[in-house]
Amino acid sequence: MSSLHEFQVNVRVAIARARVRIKGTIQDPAWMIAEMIIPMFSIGGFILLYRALGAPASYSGFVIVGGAMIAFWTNMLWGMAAQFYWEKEVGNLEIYFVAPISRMAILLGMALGSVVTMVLRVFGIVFFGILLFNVSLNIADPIALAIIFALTLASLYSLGMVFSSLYLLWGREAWKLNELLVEPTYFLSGFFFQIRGNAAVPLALQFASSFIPMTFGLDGLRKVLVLGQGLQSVLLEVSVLAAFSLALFVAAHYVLAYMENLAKKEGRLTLRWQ
Amino acid sequence: MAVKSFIRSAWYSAWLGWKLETNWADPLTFAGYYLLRPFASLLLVGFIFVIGSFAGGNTNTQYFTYLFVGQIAYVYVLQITVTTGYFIHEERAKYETLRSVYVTPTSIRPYLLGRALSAAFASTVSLLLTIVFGTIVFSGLLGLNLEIDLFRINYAALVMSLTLGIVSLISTGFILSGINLVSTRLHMNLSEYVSGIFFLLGDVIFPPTTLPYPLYLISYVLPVTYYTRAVRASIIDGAWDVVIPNLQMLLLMAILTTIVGSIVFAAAEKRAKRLGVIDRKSEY
Repeated sequence: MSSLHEFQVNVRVAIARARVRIKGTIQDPAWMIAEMIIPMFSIGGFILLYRALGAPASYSGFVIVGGAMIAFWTNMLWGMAAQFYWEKEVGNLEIYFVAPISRMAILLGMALGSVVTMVLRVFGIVFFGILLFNVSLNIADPIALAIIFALTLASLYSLGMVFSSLYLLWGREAWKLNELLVEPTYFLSGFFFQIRGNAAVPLALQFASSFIPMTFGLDGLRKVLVLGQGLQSVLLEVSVLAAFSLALFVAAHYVLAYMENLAKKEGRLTLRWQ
Repeated sequence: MAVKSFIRSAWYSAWLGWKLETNWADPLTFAGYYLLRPFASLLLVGFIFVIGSFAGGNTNTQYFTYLFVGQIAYVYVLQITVTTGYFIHEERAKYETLRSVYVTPTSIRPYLLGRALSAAFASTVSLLLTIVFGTIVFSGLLGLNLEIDLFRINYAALVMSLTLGIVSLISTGFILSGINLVSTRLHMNLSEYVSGIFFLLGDVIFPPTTLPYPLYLISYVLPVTYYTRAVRASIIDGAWDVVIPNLQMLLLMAILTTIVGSIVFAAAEKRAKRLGVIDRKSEY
């Protein structure tokens, strides 16, 4: 198979996998509605908490931005990283492996499909947030917003590809790791408040948060979505996110190959109920 | 004899649940796992308080203590709601053992009860670890004065509050499992909805009266509201005259949820059998 043909096949694989995801979501509107409503409970709680503490109005905007981006973080964890676990459980994983296709093309398809459905969810969260809690957003530079948003998603889903490799080898251990990356990341990445450069946050935490791409994505989004700043003020975030995206995408390629090989050697690639 | 059999089944089910929760890791990793999630939730809320107070120029440590205890008490709510909300799906679709449970002499009730009890026990581990580390971080490192006096805590009232709270939560879990028996795709969302409503309206991080009318009225019919208040009264105030009204309401709520939970589960089970959907799987 020539390189061009291989590339075309993998593009078709990604599109096909994305279609499954989009169709699956559209066919189940109750799920989609739930994904818009459920985050509103914690979003509402945190907005009211900030208001009770007398924090400036922009903090409510920070909560909306963080609450909306949670959609992508959880989707990366459960809809992408853990997807190989589901596939293993239902017996699809071996089909992926006997097909002459790239694992990354499948994961890319999952990411593309998720972005389409998650963007709808994010719009819902922002809409309900503005409607219910009277939160105002301030977008002065839509191009900066688009760049930051795209780079955040690129780095996030590249990270998801790296995580997905763990499921080729492990079952419940990786599942628990996924669970551990929920609340601790909400805290450490500053989903509901700024971590980096915040005088109220210890320096050690600020340093630790710098290893998570989402921290920079959230910082950038807060600046361009809530504080009304432009591209000049988010150049650091743009550079770091671009570096994260590239490094994680390349790393995913090698890690997936390594873990696949290891899982085959240990005979755990298709082992269910681990 | 039937009672003895019920208790034995519930005990072995609790043991199984405990094994499922713990046998994937060594004890240290397990302890880390059970600490990290609730501790991170406490840190999240605690830092919202720190940062919000810093920005607002006002630090009310009394309110911080209120919030700290509410968040600690919520550990049970989240763990039991999620475990029981996911239980039917796990048995039916993931491990495919639901029909095996139904062909045994004992019913699914002691099995569910045991699994919920093991979740409650795991929550206790989380709770204790979170209190210790939460106190170290907020009181020790961040210098926030937690207004909790170990000698003023009404331990008897605290045990009663936790026990009645767990009863209410397990009964709520029976309602969730009943709903999941007759449906196939609600398992994830249902527990998230319920725990979210409990978080927002259950007096966890702010008084429900802060919410607009008539939304806050819902909090009066939630057992979690009285559970959180009873735990808070036992830990912060300690005096019986403050604790007893909350305990009375919690007892009433525990009885009511137990009755409603039993009725809903029995009705759902009957309907699921009639429709032939006990072991229906739906995944895509």
